[in-house]
Amino acid sequence: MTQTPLVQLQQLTKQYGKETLALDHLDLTLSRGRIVGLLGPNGSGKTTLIKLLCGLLQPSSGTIRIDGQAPGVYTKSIISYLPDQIYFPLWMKTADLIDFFADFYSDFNRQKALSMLDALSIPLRQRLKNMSKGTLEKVQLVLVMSRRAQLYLMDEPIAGVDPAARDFILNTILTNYNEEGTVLLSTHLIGDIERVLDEVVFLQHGRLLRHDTVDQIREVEGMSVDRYFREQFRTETLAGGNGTW
Amino acid sequence: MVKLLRYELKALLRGLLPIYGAVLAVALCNRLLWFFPMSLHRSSSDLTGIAAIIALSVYVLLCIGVAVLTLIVIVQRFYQGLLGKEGYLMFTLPLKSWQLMGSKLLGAFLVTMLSTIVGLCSILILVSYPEIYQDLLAIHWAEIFHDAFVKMPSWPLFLVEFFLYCCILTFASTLLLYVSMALGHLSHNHRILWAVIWYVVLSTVISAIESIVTALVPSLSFLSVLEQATTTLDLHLVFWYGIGYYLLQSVVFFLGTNFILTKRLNLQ
Repeated sequence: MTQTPLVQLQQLTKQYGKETLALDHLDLTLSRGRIVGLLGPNGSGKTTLIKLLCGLLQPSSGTIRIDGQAPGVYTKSIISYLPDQIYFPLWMKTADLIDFFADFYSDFNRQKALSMLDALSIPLRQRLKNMSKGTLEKVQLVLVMSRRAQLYLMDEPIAGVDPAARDFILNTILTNYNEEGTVLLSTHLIGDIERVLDEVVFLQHGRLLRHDTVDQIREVEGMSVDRYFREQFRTETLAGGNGTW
Repeated sequence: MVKLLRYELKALLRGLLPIYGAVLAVALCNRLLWFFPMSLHRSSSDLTGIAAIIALSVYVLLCIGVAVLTLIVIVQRFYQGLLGKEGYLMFTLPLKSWQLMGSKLLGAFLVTMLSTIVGLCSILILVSYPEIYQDLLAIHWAEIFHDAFVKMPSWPLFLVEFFLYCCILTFASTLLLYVSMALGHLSHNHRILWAVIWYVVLSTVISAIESIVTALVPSLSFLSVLEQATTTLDLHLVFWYGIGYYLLQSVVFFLGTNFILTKRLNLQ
């Protein structure tokens, strides 16, 4: 029996206003049990794609299927999302957040979250507004990774953090994700995450440039994914991308 | 929905409980300051008199503060909770948009009621002289109720209708704020400014529609309906007329806001 692909996008297009085409007729299929890098320079459509998968945006045209269903209550129940910013209400305490996740996500593992927070020496009774940005990011990561989700969507989880924090983040993802699920991780810092990826999806100007396994790229192109990325996007890097589409 | 409402009430009351406490405490201070000079000395000293006036001014300011803060907290909880960064948390929960909005609306309604109750309680504290309790006890309540039932058997229904009218009016007013913020959110820049502009525009449009409709069909105006009411049944119908009108507004605003949150959401 053929299993439904975890993510299936057909001719997915997202346009902001009349001029900005963030995603342009994107076709993409992701299977289960993979760690996928969503790569591309700034403004290539990574964040838009992740927001569309989460149901935070509606497509202009095309279809999205996650575990065979359009984004909605069911798909949100199997997606664990880590945005590129702190999104928790800062008046809450860590313990409040744990209760919140336990209340709304049936796949949330409270014990796992508690033991991870304990290992990081993050107090449960401290208000989030009194925590440093680094600690807040750790809390966010712990909660997102304490779910046994089918699809983990991580928007730039290692951007703007020091190398030690990057190692911590990647290690937390690798040791805690549901191996029957898939991790889609957007970044433009490929060198740091290449070692953990099974597949990569390259986006450029909202279009799919390439979707391949890391091994295949290395074998066919004879270079690392990081090097391949730099060569593909050399012009844009020199020109300097902007925006967060 | 119950879990959402619990979370919402916690967030709403966090900002309001301190001012509720302050209003009740200042009402009690006023009560003591006004009571002792009158009952013990009768001629109060200047100092006590000044203190009493200051305490009364503080009380009035705090009462205004409760009303303003209630409004601010309701607006803030919707704007920050759904259209701000917290929206990333709320809209990725496995719930429908109307459930998120419904919990905010119910929370807003409950704190509006609570603020009103706190205001009424503070007035009760202010006027709670022993003489008043004696007067209240001296009233023959049974006779009053009996007379009321004889003269107008359906008076309890008026109370229910008045309460319902206030509830629906609160929902309609809150939903007008919500739909204005949701419309403002459709703009790329200056979203708060656009929300204010939308609020002014919608309020003006509603007034204009009311004026046009009552000009075309004068019998539909609220005053006309009230003037024509001659029987008790007519008076009941006046209430239901108002309830129906604000219910219609509430439904339109709710559906409009839900459409924007479902189909046009674009968190920044």
